[in-house]
Amino acid sequence: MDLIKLRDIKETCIRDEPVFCSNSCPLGVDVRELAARISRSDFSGAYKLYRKQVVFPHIVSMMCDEPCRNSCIRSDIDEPISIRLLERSCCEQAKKNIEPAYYMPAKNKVVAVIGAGLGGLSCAVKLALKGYEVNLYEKQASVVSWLIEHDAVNSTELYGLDIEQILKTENLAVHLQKEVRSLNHIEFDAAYIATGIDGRSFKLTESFDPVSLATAEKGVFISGRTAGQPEYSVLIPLRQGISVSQSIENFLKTGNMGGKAGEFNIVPSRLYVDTKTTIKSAAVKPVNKQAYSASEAVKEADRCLLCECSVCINSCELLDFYNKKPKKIIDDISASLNVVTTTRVASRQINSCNLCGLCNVICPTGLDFEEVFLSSRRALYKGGNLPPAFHDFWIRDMDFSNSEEAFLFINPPQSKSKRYLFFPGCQLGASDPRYVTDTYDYLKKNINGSISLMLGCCGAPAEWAGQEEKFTEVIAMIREHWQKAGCPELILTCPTCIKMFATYLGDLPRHSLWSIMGRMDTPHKANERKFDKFTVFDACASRNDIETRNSVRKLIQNSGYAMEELDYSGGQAKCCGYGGQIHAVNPLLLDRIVSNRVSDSPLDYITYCTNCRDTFANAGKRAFHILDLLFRADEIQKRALRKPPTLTQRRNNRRGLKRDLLKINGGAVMPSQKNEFECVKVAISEEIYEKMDQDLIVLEDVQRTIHHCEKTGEKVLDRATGNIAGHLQSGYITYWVVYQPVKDGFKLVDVYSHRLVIEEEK
Amino acid sequence: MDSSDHDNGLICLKCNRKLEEHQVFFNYLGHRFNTMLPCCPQCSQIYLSVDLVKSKVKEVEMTLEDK
Repeated sequence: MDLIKLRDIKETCIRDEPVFCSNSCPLGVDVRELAARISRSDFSGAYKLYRKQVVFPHIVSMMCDEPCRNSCIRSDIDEPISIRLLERSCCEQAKKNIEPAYYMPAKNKVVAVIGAGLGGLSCAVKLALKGYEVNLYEKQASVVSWLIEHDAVNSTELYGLDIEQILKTENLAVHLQKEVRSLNHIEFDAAYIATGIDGRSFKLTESFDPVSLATAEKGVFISGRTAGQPEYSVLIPLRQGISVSQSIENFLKTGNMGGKAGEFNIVPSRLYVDTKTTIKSAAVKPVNKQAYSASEAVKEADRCLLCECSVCINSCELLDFYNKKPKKIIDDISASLNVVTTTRVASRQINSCNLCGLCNVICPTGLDFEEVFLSSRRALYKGGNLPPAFHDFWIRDMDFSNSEEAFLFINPPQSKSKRYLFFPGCQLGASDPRYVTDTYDYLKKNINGSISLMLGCCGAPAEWAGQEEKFTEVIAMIREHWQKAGCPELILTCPTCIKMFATYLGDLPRHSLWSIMGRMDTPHKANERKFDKFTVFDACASRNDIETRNSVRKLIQNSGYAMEELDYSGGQAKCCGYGGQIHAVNPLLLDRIVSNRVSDSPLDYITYCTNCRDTFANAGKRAFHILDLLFRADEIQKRALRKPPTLTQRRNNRRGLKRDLLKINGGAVMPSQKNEFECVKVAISEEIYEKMDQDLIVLEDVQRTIHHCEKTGEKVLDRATGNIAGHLQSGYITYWVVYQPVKDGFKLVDVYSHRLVIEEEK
Repeated sequence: MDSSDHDNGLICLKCNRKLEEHQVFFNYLGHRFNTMLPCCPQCSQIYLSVDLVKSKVKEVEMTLEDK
C-alpha cells in the first residue's frame, strides 16, 4: 500500500470531526469537556475552561441564545442537554481563586477600541493581556451599557463578577463618556470600531470586508454589527471581538490586514455517534427553576453522551490493545512503511490483526483496517522488514500440508457426468481425520456424481504473512489440480478456504459443503433426548457469505436442536483469535481475544470452522463442530469436551488421514524418505506438549535437535541435575532441548526456543 | 575474581571442559550485540538457560522487532 493511499484512508476516519454542539457555537465552547468535568464534580476546572473560551462566563451563561440546543444529538432521543444551565452551574459552583496574571512584556504599540459592548471589551482585554497599550472609548457612562439597558443581564452582581475584574487588567485604559467623533482625534497603531448597530462607523462601511472585518483604513477593523451585518446569534459580536484581537496583533506584527474574524460558517460535522444503547432520560429540571444545584448539574452532565466515534475501538481488541486513535495508527503505519525511515514502530501492530474485517463493516465510513494491515504486511515483507519469526511456524505448517507427507489428490475415473472435487482444507483433518472421512463418505453416498478429493492448504498462511509470491504458487497449484480433475465443481468446508477461493479463484465453480448438505436430508435427526440449547459462533471469514451462514442454521434447525444467537453474529461476527496467525506476534493479545470470546455466552458454542472450535476447546470452553452434530450426535457430550490435538498430533493426523484414505481408495502411501532424526525416540509428557504448543514447537523440532546433539557431541552436562542440554538453529528459530537418556531413547525435560541468532564458530 | 574460577556446574561433553563466562555474539534483524555467557574454552559451545531465554532474550527480541 503506498503512502498516498494510506493518507486518503486516514482522511475517511471521522473520529476527529467536531462535536455537534461545539460546532454550532460561535465561541466554539468545548461542551464535551465541560460536561465531563462537571460530571466528576470538577466545577472549578469546568469554570476555568469556560472562562477561557467565552471571556465573560457569567454574562454569557445568562444571555446565551443557545444555538447548540438544536444540534445536540440527544434531541433525537429525548431532550437536548441543558448546556447553558450547566455553564451557569460551573460559574456558581466553582471556587474562583484569583490566578496570578502572566507577565507579558510591553509591546510599545497603541490600540484604540471604540465601543465597550461585549465585542469591543473582549477585543480590548485580549490585547491588553498580551502587553499592548489599549484605550477603550465608550460614549455611555458604563461598559456593556446596552445589555444593562435592555435588561439582558439584569443583575448588577453579574456585572461585578465578570466586568470588574476585567477592568482592572493592566495596560487597559477605559475612557467612559468619551465619544470619538473622528479617528483623527485619537492616536493609535490599530483600531477596532464596535459601536453597535446605530453607532458611528466613520464612513468606513463601504470599504468593509465581511470576512476579515478589515477596512480600507490601514490598521482599522470594524465589527459586523456596526457595518450593518445581520447576526446569527447574540454571541457573534463576542466571537468577532475575540477573533479580531488576533487579526490586529497580526497586523501590528506584519503590517497585513487579513484574517477571518468575520467568518462563521457551520460546516456540518460528519461525526457518528452510536446511540443504539443510549437509555432515554429527560433533562434535569432545576428545583429552584433558575439554576442547577451541584448535584443537579452533575446529573444533567451525566446525560451528555460525550459524543465521539469509537465504534471500531469498542469492537476490536487490537485497536483497544494499542489504545491509539485510528489516525495515529495510520500515521505509525506510514512511518513503518516509509523507505527513508529506519523505524518500524507499527510492525507488531500490523502483524497483530486477525484480518477479520469487522472494522470495515461497523465503521460508518467503512475504514478497512484488514486491507490496511494486509497490504502493510506485503510491503514490509517485500522490503525485507517483516520479522520472519512472526509467521514462520504457520508457513512451515502450510508447507507441511502441501508436502508429500500430507498432500493428497484422489481423482477416480470420471464415470458420471457430474464431477465434484471435495477440498476440506488442511485443518479439518488435522483436528480430527474423521471429520474428513465421514464427510467424504457422505458425499460419495449422497451426491450423484464423481467425487475427487484434494487434501492440502489453500494458502491462507502465506496470504496472512504478506508473502504474495508463495501464495500465488499455492493458488496456481490448486488450479492445476482442479484442471487435472476435469474442472469439477468444488465442495469447500473451511470458511477461510471459501473466502480465499472467492477472492483468488473466483472463476472456479464452487459450493460450501453446508449449502449442499442443507439441500439434502440431514444425516442425523435429534432423538427425544435433545441436547441443551447452544449458540452458533459464526466464522469471521463467513462475514460476507450469507449462504453458508444460512445453510448452517438450516442444518441445525433440521437436526432439531435449539439455538440462540450471539450479539455479534452474522455479518458482525468476531474472530475467535486464530485469524491472521497472531500467535507468534502477540500472544498476550491472543489470550485476551480468546478469553473475551469464550465468556461472551454461557452456552456451548457450535462452530463450522474447526479453528474456532479448537481455539475455544483449548481455552476450556465446551464447543463442537457442526460435523460433530451431523455425524457424531450420539456422542455429542463427549465431542463438546474433546481436547484438541497438540500441534504435533495435528501433523500426525494429516499424515494418518492421507495414509488411510489412500488405503481405502486402493492406493498405497509411498514410503517417504524418512529423515534420520525422525527415528529418535523421545518421551514427552503432556505438560511439556502443552508448553510446546504455546511456543509453537513440534516433536520433529525436538527430535532434530537431540539428534544433532547426540551426533556431534555438542551437548552440555548440568552436573547439578544430571540433565543434558544442547541447541540447534533450524530456519529462523534456535531450539534448546534439556533431556536425559533412557533405555530406548530420551526423556525430554524441557524445550525452549529463541529468535536471536548465536554467532558460533564451527 | 577470574571468571574461570567460578564453577557453574556445566561441562562441555565434547571437550570434557568446564564452561566459563565468555563474550558471545548474537545478531537479530540486522543488529549485532554481545553478552557474557557460559562457554566451552575449547570448542566455544555455549549454554543458554531457559530462564535467560524467557526473560532477557525475549525482551531483546521484542525490542528489536518493535524498533
